[in-house]
Amino acid sequence: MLRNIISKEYTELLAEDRLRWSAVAVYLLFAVALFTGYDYYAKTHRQHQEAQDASYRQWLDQGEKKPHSAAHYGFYAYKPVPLLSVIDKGMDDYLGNAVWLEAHKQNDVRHRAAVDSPDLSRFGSLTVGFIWQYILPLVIILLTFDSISKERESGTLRMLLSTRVSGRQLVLGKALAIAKAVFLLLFLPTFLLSATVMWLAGGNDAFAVNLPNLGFMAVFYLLFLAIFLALGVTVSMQVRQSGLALVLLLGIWTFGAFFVPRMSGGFARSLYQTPSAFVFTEQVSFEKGQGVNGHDPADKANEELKVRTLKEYGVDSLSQLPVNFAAILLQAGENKDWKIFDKHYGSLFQTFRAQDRLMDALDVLSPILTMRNISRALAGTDLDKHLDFANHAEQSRRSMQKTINDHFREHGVGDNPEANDFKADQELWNEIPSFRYTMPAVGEMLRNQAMNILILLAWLAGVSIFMWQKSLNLKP
Amino acid sequence: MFTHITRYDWLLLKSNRTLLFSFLLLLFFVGFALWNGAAHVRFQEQTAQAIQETEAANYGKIFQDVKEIEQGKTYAGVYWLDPTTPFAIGYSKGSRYPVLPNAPLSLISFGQSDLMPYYHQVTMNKKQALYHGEEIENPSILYNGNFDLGFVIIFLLPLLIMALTYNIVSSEKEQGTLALLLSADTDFRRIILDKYIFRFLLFNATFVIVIALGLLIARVNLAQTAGSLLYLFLVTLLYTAFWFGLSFLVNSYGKNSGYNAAILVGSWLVFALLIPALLNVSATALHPLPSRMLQITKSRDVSDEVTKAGSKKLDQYYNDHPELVPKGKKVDYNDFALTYLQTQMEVDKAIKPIEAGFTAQREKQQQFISYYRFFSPAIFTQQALNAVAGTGQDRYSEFERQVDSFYADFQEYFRQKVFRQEKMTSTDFAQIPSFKYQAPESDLFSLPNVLNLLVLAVFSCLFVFLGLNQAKRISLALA
Repeated sequence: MLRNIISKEYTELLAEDRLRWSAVAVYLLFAVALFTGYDYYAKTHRQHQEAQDASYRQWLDQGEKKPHSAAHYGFYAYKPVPLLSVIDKGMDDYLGNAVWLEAHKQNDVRHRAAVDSPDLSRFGSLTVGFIWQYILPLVIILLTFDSISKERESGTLRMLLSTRVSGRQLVLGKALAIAKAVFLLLFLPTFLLSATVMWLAGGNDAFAVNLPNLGFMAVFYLLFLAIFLALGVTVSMQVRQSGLALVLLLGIWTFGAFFVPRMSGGFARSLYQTPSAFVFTEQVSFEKGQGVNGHDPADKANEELKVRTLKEYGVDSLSQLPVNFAAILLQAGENKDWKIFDKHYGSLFQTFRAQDRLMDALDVLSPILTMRNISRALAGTDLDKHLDFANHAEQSRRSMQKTINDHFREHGVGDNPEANDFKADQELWNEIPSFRYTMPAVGEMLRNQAMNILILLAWLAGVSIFMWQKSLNLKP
Repeated sequence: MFTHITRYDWLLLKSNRTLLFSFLLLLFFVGFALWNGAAHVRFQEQTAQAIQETEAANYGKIFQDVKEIEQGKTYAGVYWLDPTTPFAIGYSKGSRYPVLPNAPLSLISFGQSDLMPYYHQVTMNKKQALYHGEEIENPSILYNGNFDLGFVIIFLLPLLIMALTYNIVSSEKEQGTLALLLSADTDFRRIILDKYIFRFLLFNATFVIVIALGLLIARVNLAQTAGSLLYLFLVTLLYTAFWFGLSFLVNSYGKNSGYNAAILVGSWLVFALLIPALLNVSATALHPLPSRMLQITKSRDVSDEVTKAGSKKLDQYYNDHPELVPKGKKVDYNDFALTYLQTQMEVDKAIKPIEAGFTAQREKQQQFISYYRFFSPAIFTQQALNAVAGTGQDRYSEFERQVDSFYADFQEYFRQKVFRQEKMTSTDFAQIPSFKYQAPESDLFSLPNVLNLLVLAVFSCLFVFLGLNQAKRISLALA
């Protein structure tokens, strides 16, 4: 019986204008979105990679130099563009892309693309993810809002329920028919096309690496669409007028999609305040100015370090040291600064995370937002991945500074180490590896998204159970 | 007749609590938006104040230090922080901080104010360093966008209007009262139109009062900003007229409520989201910007080149600029400040074409958008609100221009000192260039802005006209 209902409903759906027009709209938007996604990835990925190579080549070709001059010169770390940004660019436009790894300073990851974009980009951007997160639920709403109520309004529900068909079969049959249409005609083709374009853009290896993420994405999107399906059918069952059912569903959609995120941002900003860049920089440089800074020999702490070092090596003067004291000073300065950076960036990132937790919690109000969070996390275009990149870049900077200072300490020995005229060469430059960042594995991403995944599952369970319960005693 | 219809419409709205509910929603929206906007403005103003105090304190300190040295005190610190050297002042201690002041109504629209820098640290450092200034903000919040009055007007008011009007005709049909209305003495279209006009006026009167109250509470001087407020209210009035008109047109087809709601939300989606997104895609695809990454690579290449060329380049520079040759002494080629500055000037020169590329392409993008802005009222209404708030792209571009030219003055002042290898004296400090934002003559009622209003008015009238025409066909047969 169920099979018959599904097949009847499905055939009827195919003949309907609203499915046809929805499909036309979805595919038009999808074509633009997929092309922009591909274009974005292809261009930016190449640019970042070329810039990364160029920066490292400049580093290698810098010629003979004082080690500390080279430390100041440093090189840039560019954030690689994840292949899944073809599908979901997430927050990428608002995240920085390049960070300078130099002596004494933990720099911010700079150059957000949004700053260089027209102000129109604040309206939001069209991505495949956007279509799946926002437009497909809308299509499902359009297909489900009168699925039950129209039978009731036209009086056919009474007739149907007087036959052998149970309310449960009827509701389930209609839901599955719509699910079949959305899956076969809208989701599956767009998903396969997106995957193909991803493969074209990234090549075999990159595609293979991203395959698990893509697979999980598909699973979560299907669960997500099922939520809206159950929601639409349930509302259609409960609200007796089709018009009202539609208005209610559209209300739920707009509320979640547009109202909640902006509101939660306002709350997050006022509850957990971030400092201005000016105050942040002033504080860091104020604290750095206290004590050893590696440059200022007039400093008191430097004196103590000098005494300690002389004692350690059992000599009376710096000129007798078997190592370079300036290098020791520099490294001591780095070590001290690291603590300051850890404190300030640590607390800044913590504030970001606290804001995000609050916003994630408010995102409970709409599965659209929860899905958005999961999707961009799997794509590697969320804040988590960005902060992870920033941390990696900083770690790389620190080990670079240490290698340089160690080299200087061991080799910068001469009659007068304080003159510090020692010059390093290719040998040292080669010792510093170029910066490479790889994204965390899919397991870690899923762990980070555990809360959101739970919320999504809870939504699905909630609306499905509700639909099931209500379908048991469906009244005409 | 109008008063008659409005009286009953008023009673109707009152009895089903739509009015109360909409009013409360509106109150909440406006209240939250203004609170959010005011908090943002306060944060920026506090930052600006901290900056100005720091700059004044820094200058007070170096002035004092130089005075003391002039009076015979010996300087004990490291050479690169010696306040009598132009290098120490120009590169760190004497940083100037150009700040873009907030416009009086900036709280109504965040615009680009959370993204574009509203202050810079200007030193003699290469110009590229200027573009490194970004305000700290959680990217998730930037991505979500802001709940400001602009958002309320552009996104939420249309939805409220739809909720208030989507079933004005269809509900009569669904309740079975349409036949009654059609057979009445009064023209049916007149009744419907009057209902619309009444709701439109009620809606806007409420909105104006709520906003005026909100602004008073936020301590905005209403008299001083009267011109801007007038434009704000005109834009809102016409923007809501557009949506009331559209709803009237959709209703005039006499379809059922569900159909009306779907069409209206669909058009909202198209105007407020899809057209802006598509226009954005086209603008960036047609006029792509150069790459910032390329700019970084290029600037480092040039800087390496200059370093390798060493004093040869410097010699050449002195030959080209004999007026900068130190008087009465030989040039000290080991002067760190000299070589550093030389490198930077070369980098700035090399980066200039790339920089110009950014400006030119960005202008083309804005022009393109401005040209096609009439495709969606949401786009130009947003631009109009940003103009009222002083948070639009134009104002930030103007600020960048002024900072650029200030940077040139600042650098020029210290360049002469460094090349002449002169010392800073206490009398010099008054001459160091300082920045003050010069607001360009702005006229909210300029031609393009008036055109925005006209377009909205024309569309609203067109919708009403078409709707009246269409509504003729609603007949008893339909009911």
